[in-house]
Amino acid sequence: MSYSIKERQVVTGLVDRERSDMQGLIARGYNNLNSATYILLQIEEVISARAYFNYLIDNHITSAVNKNAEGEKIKEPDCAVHLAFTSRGLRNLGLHKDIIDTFSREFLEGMDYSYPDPDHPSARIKERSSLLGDTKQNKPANWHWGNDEHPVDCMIMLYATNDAKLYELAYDVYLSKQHGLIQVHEAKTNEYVRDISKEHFGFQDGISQPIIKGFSQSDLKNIDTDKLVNPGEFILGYKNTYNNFSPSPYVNNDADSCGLAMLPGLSDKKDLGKNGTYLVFRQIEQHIDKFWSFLYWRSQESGRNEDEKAIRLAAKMIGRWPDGRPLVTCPERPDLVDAHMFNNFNYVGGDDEFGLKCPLGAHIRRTNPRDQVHTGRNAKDSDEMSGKHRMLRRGRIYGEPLDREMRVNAILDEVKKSPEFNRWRNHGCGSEKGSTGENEKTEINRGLHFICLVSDIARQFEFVQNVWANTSTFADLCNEVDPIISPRPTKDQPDCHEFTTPQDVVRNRYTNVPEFTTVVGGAYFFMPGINALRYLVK
Amino acid sequence: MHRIHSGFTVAVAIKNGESGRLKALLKQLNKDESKSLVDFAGSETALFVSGVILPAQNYHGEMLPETFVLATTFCGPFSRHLDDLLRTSKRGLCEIFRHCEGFPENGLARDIDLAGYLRSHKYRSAFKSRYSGITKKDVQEEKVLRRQIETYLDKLRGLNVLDGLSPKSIKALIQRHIKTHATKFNCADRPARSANFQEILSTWRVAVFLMVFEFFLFLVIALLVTYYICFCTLFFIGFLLITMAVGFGFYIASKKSVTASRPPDSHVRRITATQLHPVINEMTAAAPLKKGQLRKYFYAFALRVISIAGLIMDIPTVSSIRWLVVDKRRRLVFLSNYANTTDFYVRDFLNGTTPKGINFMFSNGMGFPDAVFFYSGGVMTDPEGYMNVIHTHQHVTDLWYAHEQSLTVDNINKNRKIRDGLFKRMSDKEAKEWLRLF
Repeated sequence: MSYSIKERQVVTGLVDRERSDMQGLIARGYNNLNSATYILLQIEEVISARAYFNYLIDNHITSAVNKNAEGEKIKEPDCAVHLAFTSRGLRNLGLHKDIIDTFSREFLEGMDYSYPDPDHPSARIKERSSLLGDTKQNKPANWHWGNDEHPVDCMIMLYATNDAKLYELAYDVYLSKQHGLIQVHEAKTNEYVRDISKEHFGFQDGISQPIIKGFSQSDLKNIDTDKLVNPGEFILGYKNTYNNFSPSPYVNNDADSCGLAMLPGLSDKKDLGKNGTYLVFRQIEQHIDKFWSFLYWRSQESGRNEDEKAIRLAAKMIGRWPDGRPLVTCPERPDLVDAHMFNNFNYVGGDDEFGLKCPLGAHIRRTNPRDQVHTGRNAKDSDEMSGKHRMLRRGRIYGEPLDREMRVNAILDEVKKSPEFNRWRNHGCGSEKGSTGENEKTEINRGLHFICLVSDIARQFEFVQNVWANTSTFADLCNEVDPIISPRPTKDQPDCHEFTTPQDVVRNRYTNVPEFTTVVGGAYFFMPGINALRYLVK
Repeated sequence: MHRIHSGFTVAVAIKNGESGRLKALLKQLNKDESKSLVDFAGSETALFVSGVILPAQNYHGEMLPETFVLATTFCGPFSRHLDDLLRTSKRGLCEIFRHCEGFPENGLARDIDLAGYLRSHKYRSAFKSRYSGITKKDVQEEKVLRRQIETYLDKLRGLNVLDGLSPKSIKALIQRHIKTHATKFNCADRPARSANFQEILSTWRVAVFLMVFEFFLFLVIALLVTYYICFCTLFFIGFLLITMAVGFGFYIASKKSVTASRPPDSHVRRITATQLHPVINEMTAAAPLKKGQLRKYFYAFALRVISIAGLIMDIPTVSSIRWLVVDKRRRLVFLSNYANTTDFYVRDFLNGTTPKGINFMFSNGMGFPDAVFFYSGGVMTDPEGYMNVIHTHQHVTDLWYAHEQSLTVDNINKNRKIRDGLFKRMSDKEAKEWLRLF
């Protein structure tokens, strides 16, 4: 479907009118703000906490406004502050149960939710953990925050140009002013080095972002308008890909709700979700030593030396070369692709239906399959289906990188000095050695604060994690799950520990592939529009 | 003997006050590892079995009774499946149906009596399996065959003997390897029997449909040739009938109804908790039909036509699926075995062209979004209403058996291609394509 000039004007006008009510994180990834920290809090004393939140809203919360009253573009902010609540936080704020019940089930339950099995009272049913793969070491009981032991009510997100400014901002906004709150955890991020946005394995991250209709990027000339996504996929109160409104929380239309917009189709309800979004946060620890040791000692891919073979297998697992070039467009080496082509490709359309260039089970192919043919569908329908499960990612890395500039060769050289590397040398073809026990907490060293914004947690985030990443039969594969983010093998899928790289004649198959990441914390948040924020904390 | 997959569905009202005891029994049977009462795994024909209690539901002021539904997906002739069920699970079935209407207090001692009881409560359904023609034994043998070849290829790869070999030579090595394990893989030295045309013909419903169709075709051609006026009259009558049917359909579809609102989360949680298997799951939904005498007959008739003519839409993640009407055409029942977890499976219905078929099949159920002439609008314009109504009318399947829980239909069909191709003569290009199946 093309994006006509008329539609562009309508959608842009619609979004522009509401920008002052949106928290800025929806519109911006803050690439100019190199430092960030996420403060995870519990509400200890609700009246003081409300007063503090009101202060935050009046003085610090950053909106998505990008033009001044005269319609001229204003410069990007040099700091940003955002506020989001978990369902527990909304309850602790004293929000009425009837209103709380209008939020989506997955948000209300939270990421770590479990309840007693009626048939076996001693056992618990862990629906979300089962869907998301939060089992074994990933299980919520092992988390540092977001579980029963360390529950979270709300999160303050702070962004600044560098670490020094961030400390100043944290002092001004939080440390010197907060009342009625207890800090559960501070999820610090690593200060970005200019122009390097790689994760700890050494791969460029955040390339495949959806471009939203009505936002400035959608006006760029080299954009494929067929790939533009309706704002309602990520912002509540707007039409989504189904040309419908995602379920949004609501309140009665009364004197208290005067600042809120009407709920579409219902004159007696106000839309509490309008200009807000659901925010999914997972802290994912990356095991860099294990990742590169496995690749170095086990790679069967082609290459002039062991390092090259390891990097090629890593690229096959990710689906891109370390600099972000997609394997589909440059399968042999990272060259010959313009920057704007990094995200402008298809799998079937790119002549890679069988995964000879980018393996069918590669991370980026699973999490955004584009026109990868889903079971029994054609490429067009598959492309349409993929478009209904997009996420707007806003994550950042944490922990000191092994190499400041994140060069894979340098990372690999560092890994070669590690005990893990020698363990894999000695047990090269064996199974995973030296892993922590299932009930041990994974230490927080370095990894990714995965953050995404969606209008429907189940349809977007949970679907991708469950159906595409964690399912062993994605793209008709057998015994494979996402090589980067999925647990393996699990009690229910004991044979799920493989990764296959299709070759011209006979594929390479890797067995006993260990887990390279562990989830160490997580929660579902609601990031309201600014008017809704005022309603919630008054 | 053919290997076509079919659906067998029994629906019987539960005796007053017995549903609690029946539910407890079904749960016990589901967990019974000794298989002393039911042994569906020991059956050669049963691919899937579901046992579910439908609650009493309000059909426009009239209460539909609590009803037990037993639904099997089976391979081969029905009589064989029935014998097979009685052989492996007679005791359990007697225990189950003891709680249902019409079943004698002292049970049914003779196989023929139980078979008669099941037959007398059998319902026809619009049914589809996406791997018809493949037996339960085939699925297991072909799964093992695939693993064996995978391991052998790994071994060859590890020994570096594959470099420079043509696809045909590699395939020849695999053939030799499998032949050396002939006792284990005696299935693999010949292509499998597929569900070919002759086999499809062996199902009487399709045969009858074809015969009737051919008869009318012959009649039309004969009339056309000999009696032009007569043909015109018949054509006119046919046109009139079709117009009337379309008119009836349009009239029914134009009736407005209320779409279901979000059910309590506790209900959804109870349902989803039973459908979290990693690959294959089961779901049952049952809803009273929307109001209207005409609708009851129209929908039941439409399901029959769809069933006989094999017009059931293709839903990619489905292993087997069925729609039927029970309780004197007043209640729509939907049963399915599928890949994914429940919510994501149901969402899959909203992609591609599937929603149009879903509109027809579901929009007669109470609470489903109204579809324009059972075709457009409906779930396409109100996906959340559709999700709500599915959740509202879903019921816990207390007894469930699946012959293979780790393979999707596409995995099974791919394994079949491996087996079929293993000893088939192939060019280098074809052998290369075949090797890509691993």
